[in-house]
Amino acid sequence: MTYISWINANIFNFRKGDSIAYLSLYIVIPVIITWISLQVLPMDNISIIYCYLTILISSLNSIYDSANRWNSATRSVYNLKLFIIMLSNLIITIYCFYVVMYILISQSTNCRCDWILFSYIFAIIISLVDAINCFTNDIIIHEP
Amino acid sequence: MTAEIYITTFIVVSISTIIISGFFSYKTMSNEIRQQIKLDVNIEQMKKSEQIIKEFFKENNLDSNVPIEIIAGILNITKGGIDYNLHEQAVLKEIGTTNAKIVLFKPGLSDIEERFIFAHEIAHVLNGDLIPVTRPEGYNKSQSEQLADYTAAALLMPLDKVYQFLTENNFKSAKKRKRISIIRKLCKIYRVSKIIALRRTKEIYTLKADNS
Repeated sequence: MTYISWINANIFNFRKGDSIAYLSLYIVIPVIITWISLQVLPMDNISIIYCYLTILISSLNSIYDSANRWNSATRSVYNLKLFIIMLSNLIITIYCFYVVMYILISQSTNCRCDWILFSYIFAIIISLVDAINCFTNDIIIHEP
Repeated sequence: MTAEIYITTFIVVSISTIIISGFFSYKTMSNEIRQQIKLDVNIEQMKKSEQIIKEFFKENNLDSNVPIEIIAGILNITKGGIDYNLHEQAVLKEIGTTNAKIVLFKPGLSDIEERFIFAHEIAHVLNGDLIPVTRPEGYNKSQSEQLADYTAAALLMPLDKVYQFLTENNFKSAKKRKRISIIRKLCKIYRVSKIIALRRTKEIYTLKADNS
């Protein structure tokens, strides 16, 4: 796998509008939701559950979008990228589900291990690189 | 972990990604596009190929804007669907003893890619290449493959019509942004990729410059 094959397997198919929509809906909004949730966390257990449920729903949204982009016809770099995005969101989903269940069952919050939320960095890097490629794709036309 | 650490990490990672990937993507894509639009057939081969197409259209009483499927029908070539065992992009082979030919494609091609590859296989028949023939991936293809690529582009994007379009839109004197828009229009009209449109534009100007 070369860098150019990575570039060419663009998850947005080089559509700028799609990349902007994706960045705002599945990157900016989930990160802001998580950030705000973390900021307001030191409260009662039910509020904490709501915070983690919000993060869980936003990561499920991202998984749903990636699943819709999946091309089942072939094994490809394109699908590998989507797999990494789905995996990083899945880790967050499982973690949030675990925290919610733990708090509900044990009524304590000492199960929290929020650095797991950093797994979203992989999804951000992949989608940002592809979004940038949607824009650099047009820059090179000097010929003939 | 505090919310501040979380948001700071994401901002730093995002900005670093934008800067690093922006630099490397520009460099890599620039080299890739230059390599892809580099002319690998000479002017004589271009002229010969245009002549073959012209004669074929004349013999069959066709207009240069004729759909590729009609050309395929005349040459007894049909699309055969996807071959999941294929390692090349496509293969053209004869079926039975009736002179009928079939094109099989590798899985995962876009409509535009499949259209160009189909035209490429038709071009092999027009150029009189030996069958079966495949379309390999990557660069450094054989001369017959490069010539078939040229003929395929010439079938999809007729010389005079594209030249007229480029002249009407003042492509040569247009600014970069306008050029991008003209190339996009060409891609839309002729349903080809940006690389094919760019390369064909370059070929057309080379041919016209040689004629004048």
